Amino acid sequence: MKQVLTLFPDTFLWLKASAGLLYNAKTFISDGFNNTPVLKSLCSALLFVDNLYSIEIEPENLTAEETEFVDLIIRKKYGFITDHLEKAYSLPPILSIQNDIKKLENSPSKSFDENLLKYLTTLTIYTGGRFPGPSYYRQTYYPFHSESRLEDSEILNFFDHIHSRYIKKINIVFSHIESTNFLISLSGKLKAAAPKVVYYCHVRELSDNITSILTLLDVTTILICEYEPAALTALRDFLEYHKGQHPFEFNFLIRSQTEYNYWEHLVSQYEIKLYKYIPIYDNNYAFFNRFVFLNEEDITNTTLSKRIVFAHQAVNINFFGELILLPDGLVFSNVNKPPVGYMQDSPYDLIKNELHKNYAWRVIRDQEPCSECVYQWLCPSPGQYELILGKNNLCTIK
Amino acid sequence: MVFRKINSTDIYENLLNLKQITFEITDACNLKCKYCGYGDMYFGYDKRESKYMTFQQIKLLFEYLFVIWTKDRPASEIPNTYISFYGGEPLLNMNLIMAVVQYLEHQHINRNFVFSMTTNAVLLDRYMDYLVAHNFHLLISLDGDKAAQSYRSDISGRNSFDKVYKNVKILQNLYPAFFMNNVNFNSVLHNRNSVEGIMTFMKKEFNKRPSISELNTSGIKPDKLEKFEKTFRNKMESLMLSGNCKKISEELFLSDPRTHELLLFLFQYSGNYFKDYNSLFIDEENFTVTPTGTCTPFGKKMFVTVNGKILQCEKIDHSFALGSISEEGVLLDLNSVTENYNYYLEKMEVQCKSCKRKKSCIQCLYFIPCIAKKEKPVCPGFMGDTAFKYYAASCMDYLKEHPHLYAKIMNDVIME
Repeated sequence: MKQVLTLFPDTFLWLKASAGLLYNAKTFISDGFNNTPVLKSLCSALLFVDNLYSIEIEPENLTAEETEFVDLIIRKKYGFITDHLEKAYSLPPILSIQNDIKKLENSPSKSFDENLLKYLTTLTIYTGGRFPGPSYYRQTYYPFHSESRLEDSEILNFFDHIHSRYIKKINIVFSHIESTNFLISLSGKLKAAAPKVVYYCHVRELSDNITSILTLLDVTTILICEYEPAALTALRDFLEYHKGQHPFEFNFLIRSQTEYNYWEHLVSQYEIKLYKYIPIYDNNYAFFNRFVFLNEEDITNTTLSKRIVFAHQAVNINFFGELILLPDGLVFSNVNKPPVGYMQDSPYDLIKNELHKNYAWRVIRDQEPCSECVYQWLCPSPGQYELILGKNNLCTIK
Repeated sequence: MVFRKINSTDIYENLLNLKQITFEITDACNLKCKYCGYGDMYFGYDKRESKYMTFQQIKLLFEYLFVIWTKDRPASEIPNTYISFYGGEPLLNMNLIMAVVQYLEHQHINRNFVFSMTTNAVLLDRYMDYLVAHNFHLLISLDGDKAAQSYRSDISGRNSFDKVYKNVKILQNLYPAFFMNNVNFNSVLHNRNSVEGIMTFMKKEFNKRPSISELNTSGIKPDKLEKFEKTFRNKMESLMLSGNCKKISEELFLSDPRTHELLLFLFQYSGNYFKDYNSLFIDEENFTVTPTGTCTPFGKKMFVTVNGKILQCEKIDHSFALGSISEEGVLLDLNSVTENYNYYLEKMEVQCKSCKRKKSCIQCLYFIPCIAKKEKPVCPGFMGDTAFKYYAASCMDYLKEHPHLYAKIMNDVIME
């Protein structure tokens, strides 16, 4: 008897050379399978858009392999089977972005340039100044060492120049903090220009005076905490002084398990609530391989909504919307790629450059080996570690 | 999905990014169409007194907008702003059109002005050289062949078809490239034409696919209801009566009401549609919308009547004016516009919250009876569970009959 097999609209079905994957973005369950010729034919029919995720089957004529696959679909709630042909349809998860760049480039009536400014939502400014040490700013927000630093007037001029109503967040990453006036004069003006202002300060730069000023300012301060003697002493002093009430947030940099253990102990000892662990690559491949790289289980345990899967297919969720100013006046969308312009350039030109060159905002997992992997869109967007390590994937699968 | 009210910043942002200003440059017309929305079948508009807008009125409005356009940065580097001339018959006030074009072409402002016009084409032969020279976009009102055009008669009652047809043909022959790229047609559907007849005529005569609109169904005088009903034709019904319905529907694509309804349904309920890249970062539960399907003031356009009233659209009752242009200048209090708009939204909020169609609402609040009165307004587009199930099922049934539309809508359509 003829029946219809239909996949649910939240089910993704991905096929690669020899493997396939079913993922339900509502239940977060996934199952891999061998993409054998028999299953390939069945899946291809399901994926043919005009079939609306449905195919007619005759259960009694299915091979054992097909029967097992259909059972999996029903049992794990990737789809359903029905005798009522009229009920058999579904909307396959095809992503449609109205203002997709490629769509606009091919449109005779709409322009690629329309509403560009809305995409720039985050500005990050590295003040520069003396801060001898590693170049960790290539991996995370970390002080940038330079002989000269941006004056607050230069920062404010840049901000006036690039300012738009659509910027939601400004990050200021300080190197050596010479004067507290700098902190105060910036904060007042930046707060008026964006809903959220975040100051990143290395814990080594804290002094009583700086701490008390930062505590009073209406900005979020994140302390960059590094496992080295001077920083640890400064951090211990700070935590002792502010025991039980921490006015700031913390980014703990981790290069080894020892460092992780130390931070974890500190978090527990001082009851720190607002913190992040940030892995740092510093010739510690073994540490990364063991603790940072994702394995198959990590990926299949992810709970991504359909929207997030779509986001992975279209944009880089780590980088999208951010431009970064370095102390030499160059503007980047990703500090590990060439600049998109200079601080004097118009924001439209900076955004256009990034959208055309795509150094960061729309960098997705479309390169090998990820493009050959069924987990391609379940994996997080590519980040800085891939660039630092010189490999496209950050997993142990391929 | 979270309901939100608007604030004056939203309106300011709309003005900053204003896409279109439509000027009713005269309420005089050289035709007297029987079904005209400003004719004796309707109410809800200022009395027609053959007035002509002045250049001073328009200049005052631009001076007001130039302040905003130069003070803040728009979302597009060089925004396109359509300057549309509307009537009455706008070609009756050609001197004003030329003055406005000259004025804007000499402004050093960061905008790309695109001129457009809705015209009955009766005077087209006189002014086409100018319109072509300034790259106007023309929307010509023509209901089809001579019989179809018979409601569009001149003051003495003569069918305007011969004159209009002749003028359009002259334009087509003299300026074929302009005709192909800049000219579109709008045909009003009524009891003397049909979707099929209009489509066939336009294709054969001009190689064009017109937009087809129904008679305006709001603001009908009670004593003219019988006349209206006799004249009115439903687009869907007319399409279904076509000899080659399937082919015409394909040609119409989104102008087929069923396909357009399907598009709204897919965009709002599939979970697969996003307006732009930024939307990918917002959870559906946190997505904010203003209740009803009404545009926010000036979100799509600004309409200025011949009497200097400023409205958000030419389709709505003139009593909903948001501001005005007088000799003193532009009176447009964004706070008061916001308050009024939010007051109407508040009146609808309870119904909107329980409406199952709230995500794909197309109901403009200015067309909800009693919206501005003390009585409690009732939304004509409200859908409860049963109605919504029926609506969703009808969309999906239509898709099942035309499955190719899914990929076409999701991949190819760019909404204006």
